[in-house]
Amino acid sequence: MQELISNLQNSIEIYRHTGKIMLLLTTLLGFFLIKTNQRVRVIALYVLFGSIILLNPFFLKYEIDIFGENHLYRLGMILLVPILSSYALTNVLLKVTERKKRLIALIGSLILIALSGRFVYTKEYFFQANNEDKVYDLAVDIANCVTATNQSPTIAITEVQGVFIRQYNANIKLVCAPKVRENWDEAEDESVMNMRIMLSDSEPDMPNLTQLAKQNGCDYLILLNQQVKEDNPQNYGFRYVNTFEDFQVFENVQE
Amino acid sequence: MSLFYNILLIVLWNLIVPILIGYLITKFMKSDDKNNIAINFLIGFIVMLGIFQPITLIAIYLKVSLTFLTMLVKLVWGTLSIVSIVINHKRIFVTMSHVTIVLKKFNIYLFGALLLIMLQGYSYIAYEHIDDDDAFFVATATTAVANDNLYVKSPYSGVTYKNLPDRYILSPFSIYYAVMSKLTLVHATVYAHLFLPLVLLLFVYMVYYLWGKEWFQKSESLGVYLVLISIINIFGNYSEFTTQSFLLFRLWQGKAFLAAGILPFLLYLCYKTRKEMEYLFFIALFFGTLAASHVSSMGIFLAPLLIGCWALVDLIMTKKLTRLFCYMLCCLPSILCGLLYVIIS
Repeated sequence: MQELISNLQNSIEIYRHTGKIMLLLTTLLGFFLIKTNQRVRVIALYVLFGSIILLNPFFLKYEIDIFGENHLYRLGMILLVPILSSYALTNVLLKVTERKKRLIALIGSLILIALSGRFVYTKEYFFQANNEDKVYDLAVDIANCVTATNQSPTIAITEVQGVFIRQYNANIKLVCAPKVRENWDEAEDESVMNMRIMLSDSEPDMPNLTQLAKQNGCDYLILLNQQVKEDNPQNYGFRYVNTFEDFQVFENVQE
Repeated sequence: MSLFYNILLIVLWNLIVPILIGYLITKFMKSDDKNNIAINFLIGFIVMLGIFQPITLIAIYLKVSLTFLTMLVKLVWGTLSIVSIVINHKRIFVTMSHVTIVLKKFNIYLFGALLLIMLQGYSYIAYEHIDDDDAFFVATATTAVANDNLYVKSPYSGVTYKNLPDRYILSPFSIYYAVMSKLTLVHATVYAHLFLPLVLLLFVYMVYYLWGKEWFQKSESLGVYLVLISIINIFGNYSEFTTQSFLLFRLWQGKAFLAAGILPFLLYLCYKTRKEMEYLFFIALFFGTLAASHVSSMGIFLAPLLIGCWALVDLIMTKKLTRLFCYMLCCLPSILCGLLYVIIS
C-alpha cells in the first residue's frame, strides 16, 4: 500500500502539477455547486470517473507498467482541466448580473490566474526567430557551408548540432548521429562507434579520427575550437574552410 | 508571388478541403449545428487525418514513394471535396451568408478573446521554441522529402534503418508534414514550425468555441469563457508537460495536438452523441480515434481510455447497451493499432 501511495506521489511530482490538480478539484467542486442540467452534469461525472481511474493508487501501478513512469503524466490529459476550469469559473462570473461589476470580477479573476500560474512566453523557452525554418542559425550556417559545392555531403560533427542540420537540409548525411537516444535503430559498424567516442572527446586522437573520417567517407569534419587546440585535421589531409561560433569546419581534400 | 501562392495552397489544403469534407459528413446529420462552419472544419480535419492513417500505414508497409502517397491522398481528399461541393453547394452558400450574423453578435469579451488567440498565433510566427524531439519528428519529414521514401532512412543520420522505430511507425504524423510540404510547396520544416501550428491553434480554439457554445447561450458568456481559457493557457506553464505548455510551445508535435486538440474534440463528440442521440457523430468519433492514433502513439491508448470513461458514464445514465457497443466500435482503430504494436515490437 505504501509503495502504491509512493507511486502516486512520484507521478504527481514528475508531473509537477499541484496547481493543475487544485484546478481540477476546484472544477469538480464548482460543477456540483452550480445548478446545472443533467446534460452538463454528465461532464462532471466523466471527470470524477476519469480521476478515479487515473489517480487511483490501485490502478496506478498498472498504468505505470503500460505507459512508463516518465509518460504517466499524459494520462491527466484526458481530464481536460483547462476547459472545465474555464467553464466552472465562467459560471461563477455569470452570477454577477451587473455588467460593470462582472467586468471587474473578470479582470480580478484574470489577475488571480496570472499570479497563481506561470507565464508561458519567457526567454527561457522562446527566442526571436531568425530563419523561417526556426532552427538554430548555427545549423543553417554549417549546412549552407557544407552544401556550397556538394549537394549531398557526408559530415561528422560533435554535439547536438547535427540534430538541427538535418531538419534544415536532409540531403546532408551524418556519419555519427548526435546523442544516441531511444529511436536509434539503424546500422552502425564498429568504426562509426569508435568515431562517435572520439568526437565526444575534448582532445581527440587526431590521426585516428581523421583516418576514421576518411574510411567512413566523410566530406567534412566539424570540430569544436577546444578540440583542435593540440592537433589539427589540417595536418592529416583536411582543409580549413570556416568557423561558425565554436565550430570549425574542415573539408576532406584527399578523395 | 511565390509566397502568396504557397499561402493559397496552405489555405486550400488546411482550411478549405477540411471544411468541404466536413460538409460531406454533416450533410446526413439532423443536428442543428450541422451548418456551423467550425464543426464542419473540425470534423473534416479529423476525417482527413483518419483517412490518412490507414493509407500511410499501408504505404509504409508496401515501401511506396512519398510522391505516390502524396498523389494518392491528393486524389482521395480532392475527390471527397469535389463530391462535397456538388451535393452541398447550396448549404455552403447559406452558411457563408450566416457569417455576417455571427459578426453582429461580436462583443468586447469576444474581441478580447480574439486578441489573445491572435497573440498566441503571433508568437508562433515571430518566435521559435527549440525542441530536441524535432530531431526525430521534423527530420523524419525532411528525410522523407529528400529521399522520396517513407521511414527508409534514419532522420538522425540519413543512413538506412536497420530496424524500423516500432514505437513511432504506427503514428506517422511526420509523414503528414511531408505530404503537406509537397502539396503546399513549402519546406517540411517551415510547414511544421510555422504554418501547421497556426492551423492547429485554430483547430484547438474552435474546439473550445464549440464547448463554449454548448454551455452558454449568450455570446457575451461565450466571450468570457474564451478569455478565461486563453489566460489559463498563457499562464499554464506549471511545468513543460502541461497541456497548456504543449499547446503553446510545440503544437506541431503530435502529442501536443493530441492533448490540446484531439482529446477535447473526442470528448465533445461523445457529448454530442449523448445530447442529440445522433448516431452519425459516432462516425466522426471513429475517425477521431484513427486521427488520435495517427498523431501520437499515446493516442492509441488515451483515445479509448477517454471514450471508455465516457461510455461508462453514458451506460449508467442511459442504460443502453447499443450505445456502449457503438463506443466500442469507435475504439476499434486504437485496438488494432495496439495489437499491431504488440506484434511488431
